[in-house]
Amino acid sequence: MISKNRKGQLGKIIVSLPILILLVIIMGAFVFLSITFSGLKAPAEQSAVSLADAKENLLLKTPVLSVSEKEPEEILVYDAITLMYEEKIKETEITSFFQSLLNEENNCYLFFDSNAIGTSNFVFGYKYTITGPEEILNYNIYEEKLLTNTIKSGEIQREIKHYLGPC
Amino acid sequence: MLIKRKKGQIAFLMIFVVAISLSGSALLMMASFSEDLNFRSEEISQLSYQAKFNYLYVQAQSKLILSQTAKKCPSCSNEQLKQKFIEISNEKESLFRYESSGNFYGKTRNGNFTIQNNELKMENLFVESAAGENKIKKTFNLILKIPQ
Repeated sequence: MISKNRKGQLGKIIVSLPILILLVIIMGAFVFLSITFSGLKAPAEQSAVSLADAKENLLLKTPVLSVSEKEPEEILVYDAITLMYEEKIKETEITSFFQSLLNEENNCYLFFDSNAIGTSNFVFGYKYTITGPEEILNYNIYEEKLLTNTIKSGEIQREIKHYLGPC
Repeated sequence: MLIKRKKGQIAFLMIFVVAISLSGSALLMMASFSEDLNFRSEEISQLSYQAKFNYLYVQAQSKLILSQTAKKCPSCSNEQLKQKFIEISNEKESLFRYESSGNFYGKTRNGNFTIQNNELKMENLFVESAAGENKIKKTFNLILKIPQ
């Protein structure tokens, strides 16, 4: 009686074996598909905006500039750019200040403006060399280092991207 | 006997059906999961930068106003320095008001700060930055030494 029972159990196991194999195949397919999906959905690596860099922010530098041809005084670059869009400060004054910031440590600066002509919105960028500032042509490589700010003044609203630091 | 066997097979088949439908729904959930993780992370990163920038802007602007106050009024009393600080700050506000500077210009306009013992103290300043549903508010006190 006992051996008959055992035989019965063995029979059951043998019958369910192909089903188990099928289950394993299905589970394998599930794992494969889920890995494929997770691979497709993996977010691309991206550089977080460095908060430490905010202290070395180009917009928080203080050049001495003349506003509306009055006596020159210290002003934050952020405010100077706002006034430049209002045509109260000349662009050349700001760019020459940017050039003066270049040294062996902070040897690159770049400036982009959402209203600039062209798809890249690139306005200007220079790097420090012994012979003097040299224009940056391959500005695309600095994309991850750029900081973004919005300039708002009356009806003017522009998004600017900028960088000051090592090349 | 035959009916009993068939019933057993139906139950066994049901396990397959349930397992396959569960796997299918899990895969469907994975496939339909929102893809904008990248966008969210960029947005939050920009939000933190903006909050930090606003805070540093207020600090830098107040330092600048204070140094200009001290230059223009070298032998002034504390009260005179305070009035000069308000005057310069109002000039700057009318020329270019940075919208994200929180309550800084409000405090200076109303004279809600003290100049004592060669120090400027402004309490309960705040700056905010927002993107969509997310918002960061930073509250801080400003203590600055008057440059000699």
